[in-house]
Amino acid sequence: MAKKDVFSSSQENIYDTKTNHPTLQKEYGFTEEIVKKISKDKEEPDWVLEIRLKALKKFYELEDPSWGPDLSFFDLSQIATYVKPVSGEVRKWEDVPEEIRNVFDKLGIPDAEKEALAGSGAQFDSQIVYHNLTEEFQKKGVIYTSFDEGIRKYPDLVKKYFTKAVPIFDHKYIALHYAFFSGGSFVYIPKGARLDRPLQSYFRLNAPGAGQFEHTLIIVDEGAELQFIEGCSAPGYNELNLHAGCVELFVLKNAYLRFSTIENWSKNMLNLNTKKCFVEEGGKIEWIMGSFGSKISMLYPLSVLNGVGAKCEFTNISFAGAGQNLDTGLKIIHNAPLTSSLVHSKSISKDGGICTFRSHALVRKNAKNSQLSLSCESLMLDSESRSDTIPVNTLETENVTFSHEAKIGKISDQTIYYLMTRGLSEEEAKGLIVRGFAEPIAKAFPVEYAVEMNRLIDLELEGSIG
Amino acid sequence: MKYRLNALPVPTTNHFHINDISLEFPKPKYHMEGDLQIEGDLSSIVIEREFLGKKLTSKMGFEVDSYQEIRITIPKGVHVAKPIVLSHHFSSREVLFTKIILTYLEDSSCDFTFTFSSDDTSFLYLVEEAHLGVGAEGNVLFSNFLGDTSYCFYAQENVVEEGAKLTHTLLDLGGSVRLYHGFGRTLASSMNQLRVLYLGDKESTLDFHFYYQNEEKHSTNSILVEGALKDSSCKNFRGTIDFLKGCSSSVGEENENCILLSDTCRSRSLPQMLCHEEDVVGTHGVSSGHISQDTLFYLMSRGLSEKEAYHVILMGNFSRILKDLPEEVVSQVIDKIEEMLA
Repeated sequence: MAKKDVFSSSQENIYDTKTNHPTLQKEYGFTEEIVKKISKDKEEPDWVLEIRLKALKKFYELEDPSWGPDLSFFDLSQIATYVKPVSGEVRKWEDVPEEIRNVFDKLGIPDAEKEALAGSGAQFDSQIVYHNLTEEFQKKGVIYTSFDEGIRKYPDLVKKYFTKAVPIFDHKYIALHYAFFSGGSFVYIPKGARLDRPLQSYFRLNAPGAGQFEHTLIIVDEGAELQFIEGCSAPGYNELNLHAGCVELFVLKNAYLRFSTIENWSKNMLNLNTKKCFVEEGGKIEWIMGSFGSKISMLYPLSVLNGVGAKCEFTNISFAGAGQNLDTGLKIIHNAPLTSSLVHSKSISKDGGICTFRSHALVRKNAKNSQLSLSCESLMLDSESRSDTIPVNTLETENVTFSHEAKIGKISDQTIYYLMTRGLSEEEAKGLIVRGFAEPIAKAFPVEYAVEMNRLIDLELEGSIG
Repeated sequence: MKYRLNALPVPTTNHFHINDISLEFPKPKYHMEGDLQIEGDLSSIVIEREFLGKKLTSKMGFEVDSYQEIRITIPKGVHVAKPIVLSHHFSSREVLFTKIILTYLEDSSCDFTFTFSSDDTSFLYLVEEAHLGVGAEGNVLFSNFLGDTSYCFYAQENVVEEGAKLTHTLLDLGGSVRLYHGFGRTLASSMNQLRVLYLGDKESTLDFHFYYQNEEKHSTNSILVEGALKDSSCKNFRGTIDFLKGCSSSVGEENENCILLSDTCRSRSLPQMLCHEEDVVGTHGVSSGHISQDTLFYLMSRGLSEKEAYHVILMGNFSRILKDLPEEVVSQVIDKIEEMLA
């Protein structure tokens, strides 16, 4: 079994590994019949089916966004809405079919679980194939299951929060998500529980021409703490894949959640993901995001600071190479006094890649004595690429301290020259500078993921991802 | 009628309410009375005036059916020492629809001052086009001292050719609806600066929309906006610096600072930067906030009244723009600000 060596300098593209694991069920089309079939297959209660059907209706009513990357070339009818592998959900890696396990082995998921995680989950196409939480945390009352199982086992808790952060009518692709959602994770951290190790869910989309619509719902109860890591990847194909996942986060009073994501979808992927977090009094959400893959990404996590003293920290890096259009950013709503947010965003564009930073900071009337600080920096590695910054800031109260700054620039010739006089080749010098540019973001990730991020940067610099 | 004003060049999601704004107001009828005074040393420049019965369009989303066109040409190599002043004091309910075309021929220089004032409701619709030839230099100062219930629409477009330098300064201190549009094309080794000072009060709506392109090598665009909002005024600032392909070694900077003086005002800003060229330096910054109680307390402990302390802090913030203006203009601005803060 090949083991992923995160410290290896080898640039083997482990993310492109394909497998021929048989598919039990593959559905095309956006009809009530398919929606009902998925719901029945998952043995869902009626209220969930109702949400699915309402969302399907909404999907047909809503239009594509009139802004951002052009999606008009995308023929949704070619996307398989539900791809169920033969394998079911198990609690031991040994029980995962070998060909699927090999993929996750290469990605280092089982090793990471053994060494550094409190629990992990793995999704293959539309289905969770593995989910486990260490006994220690099970005893503390922590719930970490697949979302499908969450609905079946904890219906009251799920019903209380499901669709409450991200409503079904938010936009066209979230309506599509709610109609066809499958897989994802459900996490509940009880009052006062603190996990000293992260949970990790990894989403792998293997089937060509398929859509993945996983739903992640996390509730961190009063005074509890959680670090959650989400990984995403897919092998490259010549046909388009669609990822329209949804993440709903609830950080209750004085709770803390760090939500880290490394997205490395293949370059045939449309990543139209939606993430929202509600933060109550004294709570804190930290987003750490790395966007590397996909053909088109539209991703703007929203944090709603609803309680007095709620905090948000947002750290993001995007790297767009040839043929990529990464339209990312964030939204923050300050909806209570003494709230604060701190945003650092960096982007790198190369070989004609397009990076757009799009943000909206809204300070409501009642958010007195709030503070916001946003900074974004863009690095362009050539003149074929493009980098745009579109930050919208709305202040509705006087008692606020707000600052936004942004910079766009290139790698200075002097710096490259200096490094070359020290014996580095031009490419090595550029690589060193780019890694230095990304270092403040890499530092925010756990060390294994920082190494993975640097590896992705190396692969992007070589142009070998996807 | 309802008008969709100042649409954004690169739209973003409609939820942000920044792509465009709509305003409802009665379309004023033009009558010929509103006429600009032109003063200064006019001997070396060429001025043509003409009343035209055709549409005057601008990118502001509002157009008029007839207007006066004033064409001013500064001949090659001519340097006009003192500013040419175009001014008008509106009588009650008076309207003025004017287009001014400024043509600076090679290596010429001239400064212009546009001043508008009124005591009552008035409607100003001014479209200005400035073309600066190679090596030309110009400063255009626009002052809005209109009455509280007035409308002020000002659109300016300019092309700044190789080695030329243009500075536009907008002083926005009057009116209930104030709409500004600026479009700049900055060519090789030229400099295009925009300076804006505003104070919104009562229920005024202010919309600033500037789109400056770095088109060729070594071009510099600079936008600096300093302002304050009081009462229930609302301000939209949308500034775009666009580095076009081929503008290597160019610089673009954009800064907007807004002081919020009341709990019912609203500030919306979009300092946008678009970049198609690697070898450029682009920066933008926005800051907003209230005047800190500590600062007020310090100034008041030194013997200033609260009103004086506010005034000192505001003028300190505005000084980055005021420092380059003639003394008589600065004193006019100070008087107007005092009147608005009263």
